[in-house]
Amino acid sequence: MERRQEQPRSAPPWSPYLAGGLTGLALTLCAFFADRQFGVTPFYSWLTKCCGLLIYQRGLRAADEFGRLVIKPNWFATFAVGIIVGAALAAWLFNDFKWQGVPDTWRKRFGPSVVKRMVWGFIGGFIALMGVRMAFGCPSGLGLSGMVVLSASGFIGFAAMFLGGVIMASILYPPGCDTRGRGES
Amino acid sequence: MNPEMLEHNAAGSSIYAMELLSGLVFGAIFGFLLQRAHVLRFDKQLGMLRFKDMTVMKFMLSAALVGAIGMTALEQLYLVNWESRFVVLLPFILGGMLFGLGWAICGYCPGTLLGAMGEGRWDAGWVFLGGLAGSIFYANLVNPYIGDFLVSWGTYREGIDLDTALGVSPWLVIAGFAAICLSLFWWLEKRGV
Repeated sequence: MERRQEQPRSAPPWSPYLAGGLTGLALTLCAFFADRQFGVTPFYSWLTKCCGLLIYQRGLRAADEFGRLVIKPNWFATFAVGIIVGAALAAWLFNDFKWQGVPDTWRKRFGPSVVKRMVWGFIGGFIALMGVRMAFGCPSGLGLSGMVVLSASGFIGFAAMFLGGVIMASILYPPGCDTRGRGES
Repeated sequence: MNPEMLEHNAAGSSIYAMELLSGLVFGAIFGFLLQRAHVLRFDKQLGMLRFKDMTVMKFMLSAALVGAIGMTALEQLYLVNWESRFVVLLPFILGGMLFGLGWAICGYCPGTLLGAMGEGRWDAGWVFLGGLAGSIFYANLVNPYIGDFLVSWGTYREGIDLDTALGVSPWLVIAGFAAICLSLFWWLEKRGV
């Protein structure tokens, strides 16, 4: 995938209501045809187990029968790969692909340093995934997939995630800090 | 995953292949729609957390509303049969808030960072590496010590569904949820965020 600088205009995004509604339809079809619920946390659990085997058994080659079952790719692993493929496909079809290492909002607030973004991205991801593993799910697995089956878990989880995010966002980006909120695409 | 799927016979491996393929297809549909709504982006995610651009909230609640209607219809037609999701209050609240704190720092969810890498936002790669390290750290060095404590209180293993908890039809819950979502959408559009 190369940069397409000769076509500066990318397609405008779809309405979030349309794309969200289609996502709701997709997860219903997924429940019907694949008997699965959307979620990516099991993918991270699976990767963690693979890394555990690498560390404790000094390589996947030494894995025993149990280890081979553990590291066998599952539905959630291909689901996660599918998200990358689908997003890349959409970006390519709608001329929306863009190499970017420092997001616009971050750049306006914290400067263009790639290293700074790397360090804080790593720390943020570290904290976020610790929380996700603790809560048994991410916004899609716990929040969205919980809400669609009208489970209290989805609503509680989504509210807690949103609350934590709003608190940290108000610390990092206090009112009046000079950033434009509406992210330019 | 069912144990029989892991057996190395012809039928088992073809079921297994279909399983993996269906994951790829539905993941791709999800990633495609996430990209088309631009909700993968750091700027949109932080926009929601700062109440400046609620695109992600609109996307999420639209998906939840349509999905709830579809799932309830499937359940009422006996086309799917799932156990209720367990509720563990302490992990959901503490873990959810811990996730939120990290989310506002890194600007990606575990799922959207994968899609963000797909559309060229390569800083999501750092978040992915940090997330993997955090997941390994939590599973090996945190969960063994506090895992039992976290589920010692507020644990409902049999699950809580809003319709059975309230003793009403699931369609009534959906109607209430729809009323909340639609009025929120109307208010957000009026404010122009």
